[in-house]
Amino acid sequence: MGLDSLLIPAVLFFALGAFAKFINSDLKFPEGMTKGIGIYLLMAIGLKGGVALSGADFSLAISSIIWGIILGFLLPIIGYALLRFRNKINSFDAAAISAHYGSVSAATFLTAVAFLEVSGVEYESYPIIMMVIMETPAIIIGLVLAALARKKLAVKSGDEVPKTEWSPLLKEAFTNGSVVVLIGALIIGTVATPEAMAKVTPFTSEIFMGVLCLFLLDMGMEAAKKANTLKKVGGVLIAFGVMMPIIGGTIGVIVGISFLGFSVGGAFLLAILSASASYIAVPPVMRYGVPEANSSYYLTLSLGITFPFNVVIGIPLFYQMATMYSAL
Amino acid sequence: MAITMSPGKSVQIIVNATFENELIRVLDKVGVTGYTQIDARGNGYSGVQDGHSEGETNILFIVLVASELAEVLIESLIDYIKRGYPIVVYTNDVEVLTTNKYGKPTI
Repeated sequence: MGLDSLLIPAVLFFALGAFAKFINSDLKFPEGMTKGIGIYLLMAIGLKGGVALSGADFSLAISSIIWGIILGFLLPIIGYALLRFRNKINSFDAAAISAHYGSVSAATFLTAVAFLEVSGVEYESYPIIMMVIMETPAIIIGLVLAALARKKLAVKSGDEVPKTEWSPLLKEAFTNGSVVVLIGALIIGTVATPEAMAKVTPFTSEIFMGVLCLFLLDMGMEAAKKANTLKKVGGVLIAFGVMMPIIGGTIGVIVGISFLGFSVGGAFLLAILSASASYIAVPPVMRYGVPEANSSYYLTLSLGITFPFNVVIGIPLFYQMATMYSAL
Repeated sequence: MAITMSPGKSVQIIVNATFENELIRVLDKVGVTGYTQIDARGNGYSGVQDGHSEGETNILFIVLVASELAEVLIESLIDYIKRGYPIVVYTNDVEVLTTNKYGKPTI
């Protein structure tokens, strides 16, 4: 353990990407490539989860879904309370940021899966369904918190309370591309016959880890780019970007082991889900739904701070935490 | 065939890609019958828009309209700007070739 967890190719490629930006290399992915790889990764993980689910325990699957919803609502509220503590961050920024932290990062999750597979640790497939479930509730919480802040502001200044048009916002939260691909692939993986699935495994499983390396190479470059805006973000938010994943991850370990009875591997994956912050699905929704918030804050935080923190420190930390907690 | 150039306004609108559908709704509502849009990258108040993800892509809309309609359009955008949406709007006076292939004016 320890340094070994950093020596998996995906993490090393992340470091390479960051290094490339650091030395001002002209390395750049062709336009649209990251989006394409992202869709592939979601499809592959969805299929994998679906196959595993077809043989899974139904009641545990249901409790996982329920816990996914609870965590999806609980985490952004904790995040919001932390950010609003002593009025340090304004309500709109706090609402938008906490929506990102309640939602999940598929890339962090997949890196954690890569870590388990390299280490030969078994894990349950339920966290994959939980990843799907946890995409959306936080977005709704973020939008509701922003609407409340808008109302409060209008009452204070004596203006007319602005109406929030919910239907396009909610539509975006539920018909989000990542949600559609993930749920779709999950269902396809569950219903397809094993013989037919065996035909697609070369594409969805065998090359999966290599594709993940490519994706993380690009994420490394993006994260390093965000490092330039760190100064603008300020100390309070940077501290939040490290504290929130630790809080979320701890909650994830406890829920995974004590409430869902997962193995160390499964609880670790749930911890990673709870610790991670979205940077693909949530930012566009917040940009459109909470225009008052500063968009460079939430992207810099989730991609520039929390993602690298989770990949480098969170993965070994939460794995140790899950191991120790399960031994209690 | 006579060349018919009509005076009008070119309204250029730069918005984030996440605002695209809403802007198209606004154009439709005020009665704009056509527009051209271009994916745009840049830097400014909202930070670098490098086209990497949906939230970090800008769009440049070019709308050619009569001066009165330009005013109506800009007025309806001011509402959104007040609500916090970063929208850049600027206009030019233009002469537009308004003869279509049948020789009749199109505006």
